[in-house]
Amino acid sequence: MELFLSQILNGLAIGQVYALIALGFSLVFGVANIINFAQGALFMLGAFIAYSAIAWFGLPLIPAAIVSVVIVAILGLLLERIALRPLMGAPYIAPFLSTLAISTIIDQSAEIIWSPESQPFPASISSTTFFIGNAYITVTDLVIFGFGAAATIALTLFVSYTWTGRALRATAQDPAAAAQLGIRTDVMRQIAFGLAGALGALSGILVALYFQSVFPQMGIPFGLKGFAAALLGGLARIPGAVVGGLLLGIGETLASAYVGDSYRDAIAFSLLLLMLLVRPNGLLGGGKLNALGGSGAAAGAMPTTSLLASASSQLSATRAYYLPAWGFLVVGAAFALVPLLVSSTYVLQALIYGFIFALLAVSVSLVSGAAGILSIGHAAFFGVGAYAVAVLARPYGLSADVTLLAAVVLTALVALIAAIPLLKLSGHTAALGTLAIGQIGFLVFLNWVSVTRGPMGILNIPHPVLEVLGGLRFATTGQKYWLVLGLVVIAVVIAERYVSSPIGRTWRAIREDRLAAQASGLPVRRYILLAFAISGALAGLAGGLFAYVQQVVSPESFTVETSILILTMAVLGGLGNLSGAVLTGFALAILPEFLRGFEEWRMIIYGLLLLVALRVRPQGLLGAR
Amino acid sequence: MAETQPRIVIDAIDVHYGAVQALFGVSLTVGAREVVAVLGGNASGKSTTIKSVLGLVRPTKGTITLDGAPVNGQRPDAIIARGVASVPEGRRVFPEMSVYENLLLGAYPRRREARELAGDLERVYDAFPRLKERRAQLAGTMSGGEQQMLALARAWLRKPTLVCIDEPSMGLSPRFVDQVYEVLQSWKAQGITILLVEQNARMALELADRAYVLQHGRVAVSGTARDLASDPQVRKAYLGAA
Repeated sequence: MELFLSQILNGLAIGQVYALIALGFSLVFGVANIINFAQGALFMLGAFIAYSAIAWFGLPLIPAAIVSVVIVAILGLLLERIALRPLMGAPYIAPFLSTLAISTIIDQSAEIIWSPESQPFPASISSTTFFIGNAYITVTDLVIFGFGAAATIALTLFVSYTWTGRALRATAQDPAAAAQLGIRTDVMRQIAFGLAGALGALSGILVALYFQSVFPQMGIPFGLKGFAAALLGGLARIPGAVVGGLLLGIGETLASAYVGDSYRDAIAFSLLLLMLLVRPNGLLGGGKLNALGGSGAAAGAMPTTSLLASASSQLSATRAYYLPAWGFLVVGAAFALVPLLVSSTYVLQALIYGFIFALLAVSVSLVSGAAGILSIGHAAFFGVGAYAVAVLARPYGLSADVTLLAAVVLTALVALIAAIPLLKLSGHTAALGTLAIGQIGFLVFLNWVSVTRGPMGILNIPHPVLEVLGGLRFATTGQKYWLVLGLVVIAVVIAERYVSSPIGRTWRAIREDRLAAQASGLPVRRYILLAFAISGALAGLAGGLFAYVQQVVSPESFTVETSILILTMAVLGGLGNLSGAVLTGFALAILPEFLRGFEEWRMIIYGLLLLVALRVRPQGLLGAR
Repeated sequence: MAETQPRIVIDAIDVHYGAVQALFGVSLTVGAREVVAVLGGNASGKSTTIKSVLGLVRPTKGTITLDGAPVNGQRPDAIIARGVASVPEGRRVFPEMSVYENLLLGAYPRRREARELAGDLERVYDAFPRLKERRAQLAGTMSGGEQQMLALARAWLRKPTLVCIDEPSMGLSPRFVDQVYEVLQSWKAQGITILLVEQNARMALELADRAYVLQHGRVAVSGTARDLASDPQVRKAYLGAA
């Protein structure tokens, strides 16, 4: 009982921090009507700038915190300026992808500046413990709760009783009407982003104090939790964000106390998915989400993920260039000759990874482009395939026919189940749902030690043997090259056949206007589930092949970075255009081979590519279909 | 009308929405203290005309001058700052804010004049007792007619010298339409210049000094309100007259 009460008190403290992150989301969502994926990156920068101010410049905690809040608030303004303003009138999904790109760039830059390792936070508040009855609470908890609550109250007063605050709310409710009253809505957007930056920085510092450490990868999990809290509370409402944050904080501290600390995050993200499943409008309701095509199976008058439709409601004529299904056979046949001409294992190895990522990009392009649900969680499906092969091939010694088939079927099944909570969502919210799926996948790979061997991974995966081909063994790199190429080509041909078929047309209809699709009598849910199953099967195959090529499978191959990379490939190729996905997937996967010595810049380059592409060619290299 | 400089001069503007052209060389003037109505059916370009004046859409060709200074390409807030108020189409009150807050936002450009504002607010409450009664209520929970009154009162708190009004009678019961026009008559009497867009030609022509009739994005007929009200073509098309 004491433990229970203590956990509740403890949860209130961290929950208050989540509420602050959530408020950052809510403000920007309310005023600019986008979900700012970079909120987590601002949060992380807040923690790190405070860290540097203390550790490098010897500032005391409070001035360091102020410096950090100010700098990150300015970065928030810049974010709006650089990543979002140029995209006014661009496709609905472009701003979201743009913040995703910025977030990738910031996260990777932080790893370069501060090293990827976790570092102890150089300031702490007294760890004196109080007892309330038998429950205990530390001074740190109290301070965090106090600061969080004070910031929330200050924000509430600001938006309720000041001219700027009223103008902010007016802009959130009806920007066109606000503009006609003389309110500079562009300035309001900037203020919202600046405030979101300040809130992000403050919460980052409080988290650093709570956990006593900072690490560059902290942005995404905490950002996602803040989003979960915001969604829990119904988004775009201050009291909602606070209630959501507190509930999430209590929920996860209880979970970490009773289930185990390593499951803390997995439980938080599962809560998010559960929430999406049962109450997508949040506990305190609010129909605001519908404006984003957000919730309710009937949402979709607004084609939120289509890169072809844009806010101007005018379709700009774009052309898509793509190969027919048999074209991939021709290209595949040409590539099959390469091992006869090139004997360098290094080159062949690079090409093999190119094929695998081409398949992954196709997998994402199918579900995100054709069916219109942006996926930032495909690394989980990739990983399920890889672990399926690793587990079946290593301890059980099964042949490649069985393991690869198992990988494909199992991943299809996992993807199908994972898609269920997403059925009611589209646009930005669905994308964050997939992010949660990706995070849960990663955490399972990391923590389900009895099966995945945790961070050590599964080593020495045997060479693939195909029983159907009379026990043919693929031992050399050249042999594996043919195996991978053959299976990837078959998979891509099948995927292209789907996309070009009436099923593909139905997917595109659902993407463009879900409501109209439903009104036309299309079984929308069934088609979305089908898209996820097929996409999962493709990703599973890619994962299985990856396991055989790599011969080692460990969780770090399946992080959110991988998911973002695959999505970037699909977007750059032209969402829904499988030929484009193959091209960019292949090209971006072998690109690092030309960047030897600059590996840490890889994600930054991808982020910049995405950012530039959104401005110059949002329909992708070969054109979205 | 000839005595002073006109408030608004629209000179041969074209407006495009993407590939679709909405206005074709529309010209229009609004003199000081004048009430000018722009009439026309659906998609005739009436609203686009008023939106161009407010800076909500940008003409691709032609010029718009406000009090002698060109305003092409200026943002709405810059135009509002020059003494203009807008009563937008569909009322557009802020649904999740109280009546009081909605009114205050009308006075956003005057936010530094706290003392006068308090007095003006009282005057609004006197003129619209209904709004006083409901000042703490969320605007979105009021009826359409009450919302239209709120939108008018909100614009008045701007203390404008020129008001742009887009379809104030849309979707209102006849009783409320009369009330709306009573308010507009009083504004006219106060000497406020009004640019009014309306489908309800009968009411608009009773109020207006002059009017323009738009058809397919072009000015089809223009003249004094009296002439237009007796023009057989206009009567047939817009007044439902026999």
